[in-house]
Amino acid sequence: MPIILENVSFSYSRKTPLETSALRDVNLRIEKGEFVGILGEKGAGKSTLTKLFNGVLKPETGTVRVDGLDPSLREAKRRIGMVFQQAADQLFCKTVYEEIAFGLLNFGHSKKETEERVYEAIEAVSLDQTELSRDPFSLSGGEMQRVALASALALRPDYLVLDEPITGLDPSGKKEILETLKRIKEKGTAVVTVTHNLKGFFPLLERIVLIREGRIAFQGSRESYLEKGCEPLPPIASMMKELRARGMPVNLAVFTVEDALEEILRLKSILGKENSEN
Amino acid sequence: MQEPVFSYVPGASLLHKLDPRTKIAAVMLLGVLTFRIDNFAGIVALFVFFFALALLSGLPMKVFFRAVRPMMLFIFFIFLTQLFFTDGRALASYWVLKPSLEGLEKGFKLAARFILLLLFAALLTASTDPSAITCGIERMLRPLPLRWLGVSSFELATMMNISIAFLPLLFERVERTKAAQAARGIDFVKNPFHSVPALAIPLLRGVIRDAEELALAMESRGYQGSRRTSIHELSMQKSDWKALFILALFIILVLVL
Amino acid sequence: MIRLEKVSYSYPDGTPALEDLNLVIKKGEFIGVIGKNGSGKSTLALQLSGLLKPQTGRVMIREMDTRDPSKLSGIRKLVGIVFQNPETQFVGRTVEEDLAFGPENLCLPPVEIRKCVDLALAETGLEKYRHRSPKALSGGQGQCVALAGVLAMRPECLIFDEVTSMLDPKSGIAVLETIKKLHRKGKTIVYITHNLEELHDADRILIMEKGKMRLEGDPESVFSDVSLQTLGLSLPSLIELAENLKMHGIVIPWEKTSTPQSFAEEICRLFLKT
Repeated sequence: MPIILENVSFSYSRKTPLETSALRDVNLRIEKGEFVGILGEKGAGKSTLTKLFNGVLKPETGTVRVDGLDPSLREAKRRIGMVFQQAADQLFCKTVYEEIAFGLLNFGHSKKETEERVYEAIEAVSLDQTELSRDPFSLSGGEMQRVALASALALRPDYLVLDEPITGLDPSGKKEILETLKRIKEKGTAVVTVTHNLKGFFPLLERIVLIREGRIAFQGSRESYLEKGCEPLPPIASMMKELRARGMPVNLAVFTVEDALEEILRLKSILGKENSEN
Repeated sequence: MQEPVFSYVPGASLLHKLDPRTKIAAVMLLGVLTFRIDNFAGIVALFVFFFALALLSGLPMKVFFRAVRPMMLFIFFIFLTQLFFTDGRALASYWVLKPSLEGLEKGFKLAARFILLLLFAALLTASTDPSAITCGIERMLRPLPLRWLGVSSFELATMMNISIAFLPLLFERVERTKAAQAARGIDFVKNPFHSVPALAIPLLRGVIRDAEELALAMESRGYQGSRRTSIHELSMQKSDWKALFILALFIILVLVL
Repeated sequence: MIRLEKVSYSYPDGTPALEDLNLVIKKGEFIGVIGKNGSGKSTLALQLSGLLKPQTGRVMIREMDTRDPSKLSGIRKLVGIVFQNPETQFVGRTVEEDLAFGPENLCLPPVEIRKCVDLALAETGLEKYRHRSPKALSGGQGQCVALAGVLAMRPECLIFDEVTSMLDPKSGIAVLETIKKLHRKGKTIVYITHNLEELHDADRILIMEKGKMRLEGDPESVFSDVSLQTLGLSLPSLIELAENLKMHGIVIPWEKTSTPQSFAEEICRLFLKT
């Protein structure tokens, strides 16, 4: 069963002069095991959307269901793991171990089971077991973010919801997180991420949801996102769009530098053939 | 989020144009007056004066009532204690509670005073930009020997301004951490002791980091906590002196009543 | 303009942040500084703006030693710095008040403060947000307010410490464009970033690692340096594509790799001329 949003609208400061509409008539389905990117400008309503998933916010109209459950139920909360932009906003224990175990103990797991799951989680984010006794605040940005991921994964969620998980990290930190997320997805957990970083995420995304001024402006595969000429685009895709605009018969569905290289070489051979035929 | 109580509502009325110092002084004087007078005529006069000023400000009345509403319960409580715990001619008798006529009178007066105080304060904040208020306070404090307390009036004013600017950021931080910890299965209602450190520690760390960044940004822009000037030009106009004169007349009138 | 002479600095816990660093920044230069977290870039930024003082060696800003407290005001007027998070740089309730903060600290009279504020608003294109709260603006505009707040003090040199890292790409580009415009008007710029893409037009790039300068040169030579990958930095994807194409005999000149448009144009030109 998926996460389903039906005709969801949400406003902040409802019934006051400061009322601002954040989301309007959102219909969305997130299936188990997929990798979804939520794109859009600041203030478009992306973060509001993620907070609706786990019941932190309640929709004004419409319904949100997680595997058929109300998202504010404890069981629904367990199925959704959330990690926000700054891991430092949620870490507070003295050791990495306590940090990861925190959620498990909250959900009433036994000591033995907790230990088992902490080791499982730390392996999933490829942190070394020796790190378990360290102070989370002595870690690098990328490592801290992986601890935050591990503390969410320890609950064995079906969906991992992330809000700008790599913003503010340096290139190696970004790479660590992207690789970790890729592995998490391959193991069957759905990953839903709000992001600005198309260069990093585009090779991983299976489906894209574009939000503009509180409404869903596009929803579909990344191939159709590119074919329909949606924006924003990572630099490589943007370059292919420019080539197409100049009349070149290139495929727009290009996600990595390797794809682009292949496509340009193909273009060269096509044009070469045409030229020799003339 | 709550409705903004005591917030500034921009406008171009005579009241908006007065020097903040005039308005601060007026509110202080009226506040003292409210608690000095002891007859109903005076209280009525003060209410009339308030409505006259409110009309002059050109702002909708709900702006002012909004300031009173959250305090209504408290005011009602004060009214009740006065009503029941003042000795005098009994109005009626319910079990041990004996509301008295004197109590009723005292209760009405005290409640009216609190309401007046809130209304005048709302008049000041609604018609004056908050930073103009801090600037006015700074100017009024400048002659005082605050240096003995280890602060300057400039520092006080900057502190007030920064707190106003920084409060929303703090609320945002609380929201963010709360959402993150709620996702880790924390129940803030059921388990308050357990959840306090989970909220407080990241919050404190975050606030300290924010404060450090802010301090650096302020320092780089030349802030030294010493003398500084202000973009707001404060100058007492003819209309300010007129306003203070009218206020003086009014105060005398009320005292005579 | 700014000169670092054998500057060393360690954090309170003893980890070295800068080691024997020598650097000269000339007037009107656009210098890009890049490195991983913990490479000492931010410490460098604070040293250049006089907010941190060297433990050994010295930093001279137009012949003023940053360790000399009597020169502090002079240094503040000459060098401004913008940080990563716009929200922790706002000190005013409205944009106008925020911009006035610096000139107020310089004790300028109100008329002068207004002039400074108006000019800074014009230079960053923020006139229409004058009376808005800086927090209500988008991330990119917020960062422009922070920049304008520094500009209002009329500094000659501006230091930017990862100012786009929290912004979406579109806002980041807009902020960078504003900075480039200031550079063309003669300001000296030190631009610190994680993102090599942003340094395509820099006059000079410095790569830092563990408090030391690892690589220095013009963008073209730095970008093609093979040691870049080992320093944990990732190449801009268009540059990477150009490098790959070169191996297949398709050469895209350096200047054409800065934007997708120019890149595509060049490919069309190459492929259609025959």
